[in-house]
Amino acid sequence: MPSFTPSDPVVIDIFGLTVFFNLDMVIMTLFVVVVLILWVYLSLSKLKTVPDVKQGFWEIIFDFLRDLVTETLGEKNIKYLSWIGTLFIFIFFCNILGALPPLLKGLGVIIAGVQRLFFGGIEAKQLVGAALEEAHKNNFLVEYATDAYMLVPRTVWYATFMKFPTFTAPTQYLSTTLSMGILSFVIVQIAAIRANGFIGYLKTFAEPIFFLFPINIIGEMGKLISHSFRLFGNILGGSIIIGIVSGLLIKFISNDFGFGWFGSIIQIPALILLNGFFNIVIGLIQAFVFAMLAATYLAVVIVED
Amino acid sequence: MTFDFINLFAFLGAGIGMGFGAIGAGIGEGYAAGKASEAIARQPHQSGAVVKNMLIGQAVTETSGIFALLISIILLFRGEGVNTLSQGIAFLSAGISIGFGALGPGIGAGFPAGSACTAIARQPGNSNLVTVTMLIGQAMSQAPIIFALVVSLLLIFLPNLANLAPVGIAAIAAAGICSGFGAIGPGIGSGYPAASACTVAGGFPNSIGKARINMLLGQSVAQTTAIFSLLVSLILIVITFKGDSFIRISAMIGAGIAMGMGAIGPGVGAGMAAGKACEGIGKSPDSAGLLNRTMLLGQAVAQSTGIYSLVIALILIFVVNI
Repeated sequence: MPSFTPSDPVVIDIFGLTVFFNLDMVIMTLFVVVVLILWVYLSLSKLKTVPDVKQGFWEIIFDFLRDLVTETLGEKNIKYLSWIGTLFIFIFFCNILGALPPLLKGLGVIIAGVQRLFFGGIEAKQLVGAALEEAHKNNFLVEYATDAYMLVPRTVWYATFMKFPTFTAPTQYLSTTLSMGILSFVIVQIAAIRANGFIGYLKTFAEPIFFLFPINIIGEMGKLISHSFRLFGNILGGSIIIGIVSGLLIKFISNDFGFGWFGSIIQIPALILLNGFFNIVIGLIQAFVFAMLAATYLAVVIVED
Repeated sequence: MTFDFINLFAFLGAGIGMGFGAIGAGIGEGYAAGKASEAIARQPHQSGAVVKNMLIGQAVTETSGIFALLISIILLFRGEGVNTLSQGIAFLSAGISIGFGALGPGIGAGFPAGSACTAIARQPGNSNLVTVTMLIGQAMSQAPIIFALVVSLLLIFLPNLANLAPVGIAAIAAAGICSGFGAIGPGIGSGYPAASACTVAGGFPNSIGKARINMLLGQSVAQTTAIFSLLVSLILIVITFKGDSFIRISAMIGAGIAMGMGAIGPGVGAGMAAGKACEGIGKSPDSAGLLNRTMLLGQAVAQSTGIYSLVIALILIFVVNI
């Protein structure tokens, strides 16, 4: 099952209308929001003249974003900083959330191995092989969080949500990226109406000749589609590649070629490398591009020189 | 007697994947090596730094070739499978997707490697800045091949592609064509701004911050048509189309060709626009905002044909129903 269909949707009937909720996405989004709010509150509740490390971290990010927005939109449009900055920070933390499960999984495999070496009679290689195969059987994209040996995180999550969240990046679901894309699109259109007046706004679609009106509207919609699908495609692509490549590693290494436990250990650096590139590097670049494109689409409409 | 569909099409797919997949990376790496030789001829005593940069750049350029190799090996050594025409076409389509998809990004990633070598020979002091810029640009220009790789992997590993109706088989064949050809133009196009950014990093290190932002923007907008191709391919793969109407079969193939071929031109064109804008920002960093907006407007117009392709592809998939 590809991961863009939610693993366990919650179905609710509202006045005869069937609505599907993607619980994974909702939980993960709330997780990012709560963590960010707590983090910012704890580091910035008592501001100091000479910043300490916690305050300095956010000051660096703030300075960077403020310079970016001033340069793109001009001094007098600094009010859009809160929108552009929120987009960047939120998307970046959503993206790197995808890197969490493999780290937890690596930890879980190591802990399980050590545990069984000392307390059980089974050899480590059989055990790790069995754990990985079990994880692989559940889903053809390896589900890290349901790994049988991740006792601690599993119990905590189960107690909290009565369900195993799959620890995916919320941005790999279209509902997250499309809603941010639509919000950005609406903000640009409102800014355009404010800048030109409603008649002037309609006239911009009739350029250069009036019968291009429908084509210009399709072009505007194309911006919306490409803006949301760019983030979605990159993050989803990364997660599919990570899932399939780690599945192949398990298949090749654990039984077919007889590398045994050595192969299982190779898996950990491979996962760290893949996740480091796809979640952290690509995640940073795509978060930046999404926020920057939202700013530049605005700038095309509101900045005059 | 049953016909051995899956081996037939899987081996054909592996051949197409590796054969076409080797073209792009080869051209890109050769281009980088040629530029490096030119640079060393100009500054023989900088040969160490230039060669080091050339090797790093070539290693990243090779990525698309390695992806093609990966898919071909999976196709050769996949285990037992369901022996149906549908499964066979899925394997062939995976080979087409990665083979043609590797063409553009391989060539595109060679451009920044080449101009980074030239830039290092001109300004050896900025060699670290140039190499970092080259790596960011090359990593970004690999996005189209990653989309093609995702489509190939889905085509190989999705279990429900084994028993499709004729229209469904046409749809998965079209998905491979669409994502494969759709990656060519954006891959080549994203190379131009990366190459300009490397030149800027060597010659005008003070404006590299703004040039890098412009490079990222320009590359991501140049990849818009690759994203449209990914969208159409995912629709063609994920929705199970039923029926055996000959007209719908041709409509599916037509949709794949419309979006796949339609993505080539806008990708290259938008990349050229971004490349020149990036060069301009290097020369006059104070007008970076103006140049960004002009570039975005120009790219939006250059991409309108790509959007027409998307509209036609969606009409062919969903509206044609005879």
